[in-house]
Amino acid sequence: MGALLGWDRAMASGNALAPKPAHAAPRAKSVLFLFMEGAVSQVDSFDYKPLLAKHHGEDPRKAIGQLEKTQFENVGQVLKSPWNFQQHGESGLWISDLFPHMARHADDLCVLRSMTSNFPEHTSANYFLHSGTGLQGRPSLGAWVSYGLGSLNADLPGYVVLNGGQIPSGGMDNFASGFLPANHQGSLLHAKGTPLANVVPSESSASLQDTKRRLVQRLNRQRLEESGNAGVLEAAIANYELAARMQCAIPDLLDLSGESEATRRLYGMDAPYEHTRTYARECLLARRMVERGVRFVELTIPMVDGYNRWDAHGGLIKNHGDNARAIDQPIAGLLADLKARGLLEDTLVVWAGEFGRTPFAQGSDGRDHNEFGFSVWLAGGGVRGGMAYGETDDWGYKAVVNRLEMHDLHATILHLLGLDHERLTYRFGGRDMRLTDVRGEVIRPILA
Amino acid sequence: MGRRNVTNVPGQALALMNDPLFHQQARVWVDRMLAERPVADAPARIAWLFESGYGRLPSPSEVSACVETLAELEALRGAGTDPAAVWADLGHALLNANEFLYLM
Repeated sequence: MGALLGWDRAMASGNALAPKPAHAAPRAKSVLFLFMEGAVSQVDSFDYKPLLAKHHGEDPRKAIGQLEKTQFENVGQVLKSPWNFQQHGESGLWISDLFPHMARHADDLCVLRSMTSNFPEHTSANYFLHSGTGLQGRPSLGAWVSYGLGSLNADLPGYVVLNGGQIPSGGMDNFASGFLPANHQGSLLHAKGTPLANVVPSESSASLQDTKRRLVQRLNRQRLEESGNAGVLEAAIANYELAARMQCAIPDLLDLSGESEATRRLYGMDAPYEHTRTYARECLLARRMVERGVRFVELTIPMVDGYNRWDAHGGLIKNHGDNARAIDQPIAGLLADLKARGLLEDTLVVWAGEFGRTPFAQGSDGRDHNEFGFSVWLAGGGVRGGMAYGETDDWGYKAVVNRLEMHDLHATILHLLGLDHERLTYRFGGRDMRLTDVRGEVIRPILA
Repeated sequence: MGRRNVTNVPGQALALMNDPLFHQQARVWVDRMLAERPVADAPARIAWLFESGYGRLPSPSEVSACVETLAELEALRGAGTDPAAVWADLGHALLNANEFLYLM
């Protein structure tokens, strides 16, 4: 499939996806966002709170004190973690045995234990995590990154969402371009089944499609010369040409036949659990996209527990156990593989859900939503490994030391990419809009 | 003040290129043209397609671009090809051009 519009020409013509200079020297070239939808419990994973075991089974209103309203208001007893915590690596980072594989990479992880959200409900919180606003229709982080930096690959979109089976609460608007130009919107690729609709050429021969495309190109160029609306038409032409090139680039990306058995096993492609295999494929494809210069890759989780995601309102052990089984080995494999190939130093891996869970039970064996304090982690691309930043209270309930907002996380991710969150703006509705609105502080102590 | 952005992504372009629906509709479109212009020459048929698809007549250079493409498509498809299939190829290309997709 000959590229009719070369990348050099695309750059010269002001194509929206052409690479752009950053505001400052970047520490990371790409972001891999491992979206843990449904909300992982911090007190069962990365935030060790021995006090929960001591007060297990007690009335949390007596043990902890006054509680904030929860979504279901079905408050049970203080609930210790069913998983054991241990210190890992040279850093001695506390990680529970929910994640035995990830724990081996403790020295690469920078755990932010004091993250907060403004929303206690999935849809708004998903929008907030993705776009810095709890409302539908704002540009997603990946769209901002694509807008700010352009793409390093002429044949693939700048923001790709690898779908493991779950479309998050709030739907495709989580990956939207909002008021930014539409070519920054996340392009969805399915890890299972048909990866991308209509990516297989429908003509009986490549030359037949080429001939048609040359006519389309001629007609478009003629209209462009007659029209004053060059920017819009150029973008449309570039989009069409990108789609044409994707017919080759996507099958090449998805062809894992060149990956060694050792690599496949490292990710868990041969795992007995179906959902581990799905997420393994996602993680391996994510690495292949980073190698190809895709700026922002987001992974959604497989359909482990129906539509429940990590949302363990009941049956915590099975829900979190199964979800962890799906993602743990693939993520550990991804970190190991990125590191071995020298890619981790300029790839920022972000592991985050939309909020956390309560340290007391919902009913007898679940945990309710908790936006007051939870853990996310970063690895690679300019962050210090083997450290924890911020603290929740003794119960793992609310962030109390170095409390963080989503805007701080966003500002930090942009900073690592060489983008100043105060200067990355887009004029809309009479304002220079920002991902971080009027907030956001770069979390400087975690920078390597 | 609202600013209207390009609302296209590669998925849309791929649908226009490869989805069977657009091949099918191109065929329906040119079948209508062939029924209404059974004995017309190629430029007159191209004019019909532009008028019904874009709401205007083609410029001379557009006509010659289409005539040249028809010849290429005919050669690629080989002798004995149903002429309607060649016209459907041309129609499919016209559905993929910016003018069909955008308000100018």
